[in-house]
Amino acid sequence: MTSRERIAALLSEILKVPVDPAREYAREQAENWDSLNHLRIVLAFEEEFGVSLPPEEVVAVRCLSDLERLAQRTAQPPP
Amino acid sequence: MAFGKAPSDWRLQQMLLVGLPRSSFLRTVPKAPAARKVRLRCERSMPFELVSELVSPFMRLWDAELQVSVSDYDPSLAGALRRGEEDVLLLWIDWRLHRAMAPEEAARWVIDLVSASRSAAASAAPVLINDWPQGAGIAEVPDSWVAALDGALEEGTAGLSDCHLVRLEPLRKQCAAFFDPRNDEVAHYPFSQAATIHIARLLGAQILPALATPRLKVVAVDLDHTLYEGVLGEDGPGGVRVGPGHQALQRRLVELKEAGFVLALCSRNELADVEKLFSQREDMEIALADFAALRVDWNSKADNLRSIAAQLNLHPSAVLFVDDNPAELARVAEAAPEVDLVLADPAGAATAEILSRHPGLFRLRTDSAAAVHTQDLQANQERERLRTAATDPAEYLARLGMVVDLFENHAGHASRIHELSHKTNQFNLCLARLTEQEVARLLGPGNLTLSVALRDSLADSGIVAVLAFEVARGRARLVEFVMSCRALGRDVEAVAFGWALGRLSELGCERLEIQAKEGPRNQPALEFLHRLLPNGDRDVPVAGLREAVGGTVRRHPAEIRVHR
Repeated sequence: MTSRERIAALLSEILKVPVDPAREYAREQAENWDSLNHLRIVLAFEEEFGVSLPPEEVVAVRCLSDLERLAQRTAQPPP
Repeated sequence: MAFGKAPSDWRLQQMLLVGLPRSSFLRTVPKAPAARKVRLRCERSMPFELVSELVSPFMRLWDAELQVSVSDYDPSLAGALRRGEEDVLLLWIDWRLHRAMAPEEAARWVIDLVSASRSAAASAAPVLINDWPQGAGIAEVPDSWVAALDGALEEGTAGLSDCHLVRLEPLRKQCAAFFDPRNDEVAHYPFSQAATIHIARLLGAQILPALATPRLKVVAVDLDHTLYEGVLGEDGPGGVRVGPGHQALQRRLVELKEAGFVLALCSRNELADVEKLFSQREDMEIALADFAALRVDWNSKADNLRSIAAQLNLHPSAVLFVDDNPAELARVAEAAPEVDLVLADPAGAATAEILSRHPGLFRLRTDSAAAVHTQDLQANQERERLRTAATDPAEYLARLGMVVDLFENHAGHASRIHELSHKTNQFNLCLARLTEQEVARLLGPGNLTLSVALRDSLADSGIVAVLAFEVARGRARLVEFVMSCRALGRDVEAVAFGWALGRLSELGCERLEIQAKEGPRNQPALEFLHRLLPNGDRDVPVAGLREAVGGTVRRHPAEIRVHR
């Protein structure tokens, strides 16, 4: 399973909607992507990928691809 | 099959109660049909959903499931005044919103809210209120303010009926980062993920079972590979190893004893070896005298556990058994399915953690009779010896030198009456489970409530029984009749009931209605009633009933002292 697929599954479970990893899925598309679900997504993402996100990155997350970038960045070795 | 009888259940027990489980694991705990449903209504001023989502896995440990309804955000918590159908009402408060008030004033506000809710009869359900943890690092809410708030909440809830604190401050001490400013910024939820899991576990594994289920009363433990490492019969008293984990477990057992639980030993060993172990090893943190019942022999453990329950006048479902051997536990699960089971960790530390969080071992308030439990139950063994040696029951009762004190409407006993109503399962005729408000009403004018204290030449049992009657227009209604299992077998129930009937006659009552109720464990109380009223009548003349019970009362050798 790719990172993108794992994130899509996570979004789907929390937002209770089908999320296709092949397409973009943004906050505006989900009526119930409110602040509480945003926090649920972040907490689940952190546990799934073993990372801790700073506040500015949490606030900046708007879509599936944002989360994918964060996952890829954490997977890379530090410069 | 009920939870706790299979190896997979014992593994889940360890995964949920030892260390801190991850939320991703909690989400994978399968849901199963539960024996009990608990309806929790949450009136709140901060998010509760993140906690409530994680409570259910912990409720699997006692065969229960949670139904939650959560209010809109409302700092005034005005919804608490609305009538609800819940089993438990939780006031989930972001105390930072009240920081403009003095801490005592803030605590008084919520205590007054609960009182107002009770006056409006909005809900008779128990109420939970969260306190606030220190160390948030927020300048406007200094720790001194939080400490004063928590102290005032402790004091305020202690004086309220069925109102308890969800204590977050002790959880904070177990958690490296309890607050998470980022979560606060995103969703006005101030706690970290780890804190959330701690809170969910406190609610699901400890507070809710303490409110909703009969409590465990006995913790019976194996010896080899449980209280120490090694086999006593092979390694000898000097050869078994007592590590820090075993000492932590032993200290936890002593704490449980001090909190009012009865300890028992149930082990396949030679008693002489066990006595040497406890007398010779200075690194043992528990003494043989801490155990009120010993079954150190080669009988089946299931039989021994049933025999321990019988000796203590308890139903086997009040017993928790701790053993390191899954095959042994499986045999107990088969032969004594009522007994609750814990698989011990041979190193001891995990067992100590399980016994710190196990549902049924958590008490919302201190047991006022805790100090007398073990001594009184140990005296039961001597009473049994006297009973067997006596030529007839009258001689046995006479030898005990009993003194029965009957207290009429004694307001000072309200807390003990409430406690007995909730913790007594066997001799509990009406299963009324009185709230503290109901106790206060029954102790008031127009009603007759007797609290009964018992002592004999072997031990002082303290207040062991309660009879509560509503009295009006020449009629009485028995709404509560409970007696501690420690006092069974000495006909004290007949003495107290007989005296109460006489008092009802003095008060002009001609008829008595008995609100008897059948429950899973209260056969002893129902049998007592059946002996008096074999035809099943529940609305009877007081005079006739006095006649039925009178013989036992007249023959009983106890000294009876009445306190009005």
